[in-house]
Amino acid sequence: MRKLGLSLASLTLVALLVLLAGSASAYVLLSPNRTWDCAPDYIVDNRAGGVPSILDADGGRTKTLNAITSNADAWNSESSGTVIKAHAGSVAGFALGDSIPMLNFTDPLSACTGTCLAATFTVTTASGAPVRVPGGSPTPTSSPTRPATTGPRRARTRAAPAARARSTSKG
Amino acid sequence: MVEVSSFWNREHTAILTEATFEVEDTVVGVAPAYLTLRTFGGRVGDLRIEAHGFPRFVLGEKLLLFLEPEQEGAHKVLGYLQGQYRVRNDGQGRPIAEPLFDTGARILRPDGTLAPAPRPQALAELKGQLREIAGRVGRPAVR
Repeated sequence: MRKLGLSLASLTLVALLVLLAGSASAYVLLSPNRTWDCAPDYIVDNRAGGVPSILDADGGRTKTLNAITSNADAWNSESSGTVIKAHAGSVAGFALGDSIPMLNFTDPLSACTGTCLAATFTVTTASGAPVRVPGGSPTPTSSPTRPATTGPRRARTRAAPAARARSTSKG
Repeated sequence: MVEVSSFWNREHTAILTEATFEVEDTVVGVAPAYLTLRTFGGRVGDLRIEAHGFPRFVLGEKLLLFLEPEQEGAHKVLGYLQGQYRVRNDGQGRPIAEPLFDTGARILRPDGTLAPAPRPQALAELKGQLREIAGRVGRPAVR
């Protein structure tokens, strides 16, 4: 099969094409909807300083935790009981496929460049078998088994260019 | 797309997918006869990593791609999945460029209002629009 190529060497045209796309940002809702069998407990990056460009006491970490677990305007407000949990912790062992849900304030994979604000990865097994935790027990079968979100350290400063193109949000 | 393979990165922290393309037509700029692109996500063994909003490469698909240059002659898809269209034929056999936009995705204007999602359109029409725009900004299109 073949492809049609459009090679862009000029930022001028890049910008123009983005404008043609509607001067727009985009966010992505995971589709099809994902469910899990028990409340996942997200590890939120606890490194000192959090996101340096967020000028609150801990670089946005507490606000991030609250945004995930809020009973007022987050997932836990959409259903009875706790549907998701989160706590601050080390993300040093970041690796996809280990069944540990994690929100990383940096971008350990260098996946989120240019106009991207955040990236979300989910891991499933093709067979439906539980994802094995290295050295541990398998997690309960669920989908997704391993959501992880990474973002650039300078999230706020990148937010403006992202508004012109796209970003991926966690789901 | 002539070849696709997925593999773990060196650190074994993510699965990447690499695809090789044969370039049939270049609308604007210069593209080699063959092109290799990488994206995040893919399946290795029983494990499948989905990188939401990233380009997706499926063997045999015909694509229209918006590319931007990277270092050392490499390219990447511009705007993640927004820069990828699948080319398929409509009921009359005419090629249609279909944006590969995530189901459930919403595009927002700078003021926060919802912008219309890109829709499939005739490939010839889209290429014509791109050439017209390229000419307007001083980028000669490839005919």
